[in-house]
Amino acid sequence: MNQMGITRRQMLKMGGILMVCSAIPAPLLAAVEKGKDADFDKPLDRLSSFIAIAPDGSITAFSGHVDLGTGIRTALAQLVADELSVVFDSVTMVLGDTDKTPDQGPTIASATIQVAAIPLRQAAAQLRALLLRLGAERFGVPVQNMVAKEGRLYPTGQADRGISYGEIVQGQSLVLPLDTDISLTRERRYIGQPVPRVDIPGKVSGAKAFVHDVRLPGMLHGRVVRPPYVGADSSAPLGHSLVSVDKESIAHIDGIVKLVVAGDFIGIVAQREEQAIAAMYALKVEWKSWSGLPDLSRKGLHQTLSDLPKTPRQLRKDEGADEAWNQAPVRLCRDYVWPFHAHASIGPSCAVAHFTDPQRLELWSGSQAPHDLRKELAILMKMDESQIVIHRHEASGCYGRNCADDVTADAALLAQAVGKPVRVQLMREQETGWEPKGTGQLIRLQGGLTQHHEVNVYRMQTCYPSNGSTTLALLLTGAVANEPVVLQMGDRTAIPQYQYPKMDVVCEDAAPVVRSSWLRGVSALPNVFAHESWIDEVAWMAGADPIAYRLRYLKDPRAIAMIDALKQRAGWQDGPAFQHRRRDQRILKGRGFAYARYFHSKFPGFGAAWASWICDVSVDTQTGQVTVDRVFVAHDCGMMVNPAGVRHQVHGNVIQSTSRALKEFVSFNSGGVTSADWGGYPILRFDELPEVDVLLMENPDQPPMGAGESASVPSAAAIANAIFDAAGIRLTEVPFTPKRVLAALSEKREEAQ
Amino acid sequence: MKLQVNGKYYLLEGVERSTPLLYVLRNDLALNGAKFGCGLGECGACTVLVDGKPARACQLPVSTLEGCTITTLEGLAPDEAHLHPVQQAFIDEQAAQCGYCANGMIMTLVGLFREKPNASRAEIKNALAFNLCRCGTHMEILQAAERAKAIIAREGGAV
Repeated sequence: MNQMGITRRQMLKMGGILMVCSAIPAPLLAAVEKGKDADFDKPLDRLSSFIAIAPDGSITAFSGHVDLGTGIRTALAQLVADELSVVFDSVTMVLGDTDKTPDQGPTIASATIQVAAIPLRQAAAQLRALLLRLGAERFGVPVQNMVAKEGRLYPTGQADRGISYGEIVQGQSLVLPLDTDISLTRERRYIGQPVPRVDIPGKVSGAKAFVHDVRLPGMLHGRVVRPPYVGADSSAPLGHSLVSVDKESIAHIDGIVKLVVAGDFIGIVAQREEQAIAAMYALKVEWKSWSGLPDLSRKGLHQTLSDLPKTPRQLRKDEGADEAWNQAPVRLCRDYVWPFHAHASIGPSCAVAHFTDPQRLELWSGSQAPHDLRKELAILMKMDESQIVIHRHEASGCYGRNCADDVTADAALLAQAVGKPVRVQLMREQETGWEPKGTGQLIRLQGGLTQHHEVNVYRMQTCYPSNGSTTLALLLTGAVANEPVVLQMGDRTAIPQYQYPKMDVVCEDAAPVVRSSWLRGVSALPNVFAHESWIDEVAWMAGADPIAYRLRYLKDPRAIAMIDALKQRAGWQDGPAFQHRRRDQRILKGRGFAYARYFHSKFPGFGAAWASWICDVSVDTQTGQVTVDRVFVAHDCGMMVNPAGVRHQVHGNVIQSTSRALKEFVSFNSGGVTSADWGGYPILRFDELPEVDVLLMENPDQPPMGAGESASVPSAAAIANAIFDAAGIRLTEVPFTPKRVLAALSEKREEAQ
Repeated sequence: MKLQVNGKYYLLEGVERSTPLLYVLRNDLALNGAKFGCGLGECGACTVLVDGKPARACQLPVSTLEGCTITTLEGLAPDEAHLHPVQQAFIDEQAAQCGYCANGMIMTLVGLFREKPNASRAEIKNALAFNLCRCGTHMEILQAAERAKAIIAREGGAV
């Protein structure tokens, strides 16, 4: 049973009294109505959002989502402050703590502002209405004559008689179920302002800001030893692969407190961190040999992805699509291949665990999904969820699912084994090797065109072999069997936003090849790489300007307005790609375009922000090196709660996705991941940056849309299209490495001859 | 072993001579600034100043640092109200997303501006080339570097 440990009595101690929740359990609701004190100590089960006010007027607001470095803590507080009309500084956000916040699922899909914040805003609006009602009673005036402003209540025109929110709620005890019909405020004191992030001063001055900085009295240090099948999934014998552990091999190391072995889980607890590290490397372990991975090399990935066992799932099939395909006088068929990518968080994941008594496990974790993690930990530790609390702390940037959950479970096992608080941090190679990857993806496009190169039918097969990645300790200890679980995640933005006359779109669901889950843009980024590369090529076949050609099929007025604005901003010159470019120089320059609105979550999903790119590249025809010189990016996420935060997310998306498109490729041998560190998995550096010009569309009256991923989505296609414009070569496999560019240039020369 | 960190002397007991400085700073001195990123000197998250120059704390055996002056992020400013110009510029430009790399960025820039208070944009990029950021905060960090330069110039050039 998922219980919320917090009780009304605890809420009262916080000074509160006024709460708004989405779902009050029936018995508690009855108690509220009857005012029975005994029920004050009942845990509140599954509240969707709530807010408490202390007598000093300070507001505590709770969200089950967490801040991944996107500034969501600040943005949510802005929303609450305006909804309640209080000063920003009086709002404190509690994020992701499993005892205090509602289970709103993992923080994914750019959904915090767009989705998870809505009940919070409604709760705040309702609280304001309640305050007005209480104020009206206090002053003996009709509620419509009451004003709630900047934390004070007063009858209209009598601001000098005002009393504070805190004052009026003293002694009250009210819990209201959430009214989802309540209208949200038009107040815009903080919404729309670049309010400085509350976490940055601490982070730049060495304050305790990260889960890595948690220190408990008597805390010991742990490290884990993983099986040699680095980053493997269900095909590897995880859970029954350990042959032997030589305890004596670490006997010479000082400070060892305990060697913990449970199934395939191995951990070492030591007095000091460097002792634990020395021991993890010194420990002699024999594992079963295994080398069962298919060919995941640059050359082999396409075939391997093609050969995977898959289950087709028809996402859309228009009547007559088959006939249109059979009769198409012109066809354009292309396979697009996306590689395995790593989150590559700068800080390896870390957690601290402590059994405060044998029945209560407290954890400090950087998890992106603390409520889900608690469910897994309950299985692992054979405890009730109510006995486990996860305090969510900020961690190194995560863009889907890194090893944060894994290390939390590791810490729990080690803390249990030694009966003392234990801090565990993964080593670099463990983080890079074992983090659930953004999976390799094959997208097969077949288009039937008219003789005039108009699109008649668009056929797509896409495959994103992945799942939610069971927390590793569960598999290693055998608590959960290591089986090929399939999650349906390949369908993000799989339906093109162009109104092609007929479409036939299939998602082929498949189990992971290696440990794979979601990574920023999930399957949408690869799917859009395919959509936007393909239409660009068709536009070229039609002898048309790439943007003008797209606009024949694009009917979404917001998309069109954004693209028009971007064209102006970048000074786009109409005309077909490549043809007007000079070809006699070593460095060829080109410009490419791509557009998408990111659609995420379970199919058909829903749209987040719109984004489009115009980018300028240089292609060195001697070395094959592609440089992204400049990116113009337009972004429409409706109301921007914090425009500086949105801009920073756009910057981050542009740089991270440029890095992914140009450089990143996780390497494997038949036994697992071989990209162990930054040498083996280089990312874009300061001296390789493009200039970035951000155009934020102003639509303050439109609902806020997720901004955490959208600006990534057009990246690879825009760069590929720019490379075509520069050099006349179409790269259909990411990343666009010098070797691939040279091979394509050479192929092109051969064709010309 | 005796270590001088942020102007204070610490006597280290029960610490192996080969222990990387990073673990002493974080675990013995309870300093949060320097972060473990790779343990290989590749990412820069652990950067501190040794005798005023940026150095990677994950790579430095603590025994080699006796007699050196070590400055961490915490030692750049006397208190929160008087932050170092580079720290202040990072706040002004909001130059952190997750912020895990921020320590290394700040310490590297402080080291650069000590040598070259007027460092050009290209010099700044080169100085930061082996400080990795995954969130893509590079634009804000470069703006912060420019702002820090301006603050330093206004305050008379001392870093």
